[in-house]
Amino acid sequence: MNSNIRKLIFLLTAFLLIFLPSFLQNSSEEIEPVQIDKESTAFYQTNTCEFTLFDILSQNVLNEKINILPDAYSSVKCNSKINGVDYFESGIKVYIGTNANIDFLLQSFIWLLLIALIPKSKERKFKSNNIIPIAITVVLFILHLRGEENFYTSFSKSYSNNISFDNYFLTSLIAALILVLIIFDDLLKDRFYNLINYFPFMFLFIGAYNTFNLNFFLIILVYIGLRIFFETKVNIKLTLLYVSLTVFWLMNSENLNSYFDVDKLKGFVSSSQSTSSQIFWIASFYFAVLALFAILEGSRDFVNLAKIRYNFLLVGGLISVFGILSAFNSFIRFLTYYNLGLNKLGMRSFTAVEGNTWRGIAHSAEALGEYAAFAILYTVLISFHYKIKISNFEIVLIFITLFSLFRSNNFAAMSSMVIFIILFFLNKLIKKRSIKISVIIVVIFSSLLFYIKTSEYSYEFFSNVLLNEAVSASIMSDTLPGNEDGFTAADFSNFEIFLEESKEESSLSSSLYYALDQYTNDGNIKYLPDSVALVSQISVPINRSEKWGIFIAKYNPNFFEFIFGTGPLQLADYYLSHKTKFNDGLVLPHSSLLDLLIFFGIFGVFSLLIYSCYLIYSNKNNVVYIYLFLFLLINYMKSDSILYLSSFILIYFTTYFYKFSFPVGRNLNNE
Amino acid sequence: MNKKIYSICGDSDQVVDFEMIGNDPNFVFKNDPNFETIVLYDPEGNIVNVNSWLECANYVNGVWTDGLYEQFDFERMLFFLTISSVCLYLMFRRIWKVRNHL
Repeated sequence: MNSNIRKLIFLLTAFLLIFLPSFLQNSSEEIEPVQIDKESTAFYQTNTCEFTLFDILSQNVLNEKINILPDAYSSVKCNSKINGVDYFESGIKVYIGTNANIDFLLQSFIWLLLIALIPKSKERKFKSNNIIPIAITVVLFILHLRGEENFYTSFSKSYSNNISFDNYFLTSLIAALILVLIIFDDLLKDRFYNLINYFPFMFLFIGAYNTFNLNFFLIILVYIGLRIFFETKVNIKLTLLYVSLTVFWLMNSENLNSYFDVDKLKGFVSSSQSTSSQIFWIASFYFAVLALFAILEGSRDFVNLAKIRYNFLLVGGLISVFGILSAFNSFIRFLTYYNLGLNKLGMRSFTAVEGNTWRGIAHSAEALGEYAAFAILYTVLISFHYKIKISNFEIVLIFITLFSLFRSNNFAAMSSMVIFIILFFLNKLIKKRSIKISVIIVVIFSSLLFYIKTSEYSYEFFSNVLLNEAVSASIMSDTLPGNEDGFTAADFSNFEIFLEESKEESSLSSSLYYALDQYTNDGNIKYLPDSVALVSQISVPINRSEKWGIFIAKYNPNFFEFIFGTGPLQLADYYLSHKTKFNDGLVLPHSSLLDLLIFFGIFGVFSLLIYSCYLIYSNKNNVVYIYLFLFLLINYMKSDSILYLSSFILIYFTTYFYKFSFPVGRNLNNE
Repeated sequence: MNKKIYSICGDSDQVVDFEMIGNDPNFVFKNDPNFETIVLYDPEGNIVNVNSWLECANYVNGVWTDGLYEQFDFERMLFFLTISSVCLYLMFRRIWKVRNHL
């Protein structure tokens, strides 16, 4: 088919899908929509489920007072219609009906259309048929819906997890899933080897369903994983280890139908401690990782580093553009949220918030900064190392991406990007190995010296601050008596008082009790700083003392959980099992390493660290790989990026980047 | 006013401030002797008899209906629509494959 006709068909289909719900709904013939303001609020409150988003568009397109929000509790009939309007001094909230069954179909089709746009490559022939993978995906999907009952009852009026033919909520979802998987399977065969070149688009099309704790890309990765599982030899040792860990995780956890508000982590973390939910997330994680491994391994000869560079920059540019447009217009903000599958609505204003950060349409400013810095670092390294020319359009995209980076105010991402770029060019300019090492040592030591000399705080403060924050976050700190000025033992870092009670009697978390004990009682090894003090000193300059302190106050594992964790993507136990002053709201650990500690325990963390060291050592001459990998390791160490599917795939891709040693892909048809 | 209210409760010139009624826990609906009692149902199957147009409008403005107004199961329709789409897609795919092999 002619490429222009294909593009036209795509544009028409995309337009139809975006506005389809509005087109399909009957608008009121008796009454006309009016401009939404304070006076007309009552009119819209009376006439609910009468006007579509499209109906109110013409009169309110430039209405700055309105804030369009999804009403996830809508019936099918009122989907995409105005279901409520509330007046507040700060603005008018307009609720658009969104229904779970419609969301699943519509959002899936938008993202399937996106996959259809990926150019075809060599056909990937699957030996087995797709019936069993589809059936297992459906079973996992049902397990998920049953296991996260509390999440779904808050979203859907007609939610029911009864397995019966009369339960049309469930049966229509299963039918929709089967349809999506069958279509995806057809698209996958011709595009399997080319998926890798387009993965940066996952940072724009996040794929989180509006009314589900599911991500479209996770579902298709699970499906690919299942297809791979039934036709290739999987690593038996690793699979057996994972199965053993699964048995342990399931036996160690209580089957609680609890509810953890996943908020911006929607689609890639469990919202419940139920066994069904655990099985879903443990199995999904395994098959998703298997799929990623198969895609990376299989695509080695098809990777096009220049194409990936272009896509990184294009996505960086589009994120900035959509972020700006969403900030200025509520309709665009709602449409980007729904059609891109964002974890949360984009920012309403262009003004920076807490910490002078601006996140645009991204889930967090930190993640936006990390992505933008990585995209630019990747561009510089690939372009200069492999001598791939940068087009003028790509230069424009670099500037737009830089804009996002500066607005995100992610200092760590910015500085590490600059440092790695400088190191890269130094490495190119200086040929002698001894001079290179000397320069690096001088730079590191002079930076450390500068930091210590210019710091206004004492060594003791740096060592205590983490435990101070942790103790302050614990509920025990409220029970401490204060002096005449109201200061308690915690304020004076008198940590011994917290250890007066035994571990069993104490209301402190097991990790905080251990850290206090380690810091106050255990003898230090001569000439080496105390391990708790060392972590505390690291946490201060990167502004993580408070967050890591809260983590220590909350993290309350038993011995086996500390060793093996609670299972992948399981945060509910960490959040709900131990009471602190931070029981509500999503206060994340702010370190992917700590997230991994919750999921896989110290065994998992050490295994991954050792594996990372091994990869770095064995690829020490591959500067592009080393710098990209180290950049992400450093940044992920102080952010929760591992909890977002797109960022998880980015580090997975970067970890195996050493395998792609050639600049331009081969055998790419129809480029 | 919502056309569903007129359809179930009948015509009236009254302008109702639902917010005021909702915010007043002591609000009492006065019986209208000229209003023929209507039985309303909620989605859980609860029943209420309303004896004035205002009372009827207030209930219908919520989730109550007379059991006749648009009792259409949209999820059922969606299910059959999706199943039909699956069948049609598989059928067309089959035809496409056969054509390409010929």
